[in-house]
Amino acid sequence: MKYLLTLFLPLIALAHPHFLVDTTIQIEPDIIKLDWRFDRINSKLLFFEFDTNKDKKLDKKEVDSMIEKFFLPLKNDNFFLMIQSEDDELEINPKQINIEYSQKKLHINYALLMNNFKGGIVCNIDATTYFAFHLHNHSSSQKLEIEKSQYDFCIGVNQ
Amino acid sequence: MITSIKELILGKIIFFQAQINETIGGYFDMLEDGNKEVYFYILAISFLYGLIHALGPGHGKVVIAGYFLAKGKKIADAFKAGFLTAVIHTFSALLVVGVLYIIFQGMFTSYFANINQNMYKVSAIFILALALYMFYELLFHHEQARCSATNKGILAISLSIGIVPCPGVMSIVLYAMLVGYIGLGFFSAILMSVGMGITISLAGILATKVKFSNSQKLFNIVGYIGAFILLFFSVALLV
Repeated sequence: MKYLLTLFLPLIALAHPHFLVDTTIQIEPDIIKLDWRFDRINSKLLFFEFDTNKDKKLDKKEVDSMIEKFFLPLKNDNFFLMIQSEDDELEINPKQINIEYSQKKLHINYALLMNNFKGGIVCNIDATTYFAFHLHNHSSSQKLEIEKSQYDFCIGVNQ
Repeated sequence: MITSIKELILGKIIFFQAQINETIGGYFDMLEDGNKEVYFYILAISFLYGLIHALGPGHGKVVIAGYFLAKGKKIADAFKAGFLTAVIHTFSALLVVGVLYIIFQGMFTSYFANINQNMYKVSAIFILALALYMFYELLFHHEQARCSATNKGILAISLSIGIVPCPGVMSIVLYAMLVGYIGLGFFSAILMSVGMGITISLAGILATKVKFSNSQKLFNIVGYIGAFILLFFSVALLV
């Protein structure tokens, strides 16, 4: 019994999810579009934090502030994305970033401009699982192979 | 195989946590609409949240189990340690939320993450000190090492892991405050703490149950395993 317990102890160590994010992803050869929808609790907290004039909506200045102070610092974690084309890991450089709060959920949507991305892997994963990314929806004109859990996912893209 | 078990456990916990998040958010909406009956549902869900949330990693179950593997003989001690940890864990969260809400009025999400990360380092140093003390006892004071957990030891272990404020508690309490229910936020935190206390205690109780032999040699081996778990955990948190 004691040895069994000792064997299983490391299973429950360390990681600790707190941001629960539903991801919708569209993968095309020239663009990858992502929408992160945050859980209700964190949506409210983030909304309260950045709705600085307290008019219960996010105006452009507040959205820009949230992008600058909340989203762009995620660059340190590579935006929790890993995109591999053939053997090369691609740099993540989000464009067309927008944030909206609708139906009590905060959405961050953005695009990654691709250069003829016809084969590779796209993963949305936080190694520390402080963020848990659940694949909510996906679409593509290409053939996709999906591996997912409640807290991360990887998509294989084939021509 | 270990990875797939971990994925399964973590996946289930996250799934339930997401459901509870939705439910509690919905109840708060009903409360805002004037439905006072849901007050008690929120408290019940908070208890459930604590119970399930503490099943996830990062609440000191490994450390408690490691300590009681080496020191545990009494189930009551494991309960004491589990609940004391949960109480400290919750009150440190309440303190952080209170200070951020009253003084800073914002920047919660980034502060939560930063405070959490830094407190993990402080916690790691405490756990490391405790592990080294356990090794010292095992090497030089065999009789002392054989003693079961003392109140001082239980307080040390509970404090070392409980000081990391729980972001889960912070989020729910802050949510309650933002929608104008400060008292409800406080009582939710208490019930979350009770839920977490039960879960964390179970790890310690399991560890007390594995000590079935009076053999000195076996005792030493188990003692070293317990101290090593604490050492491994503290180093993992520090690096």
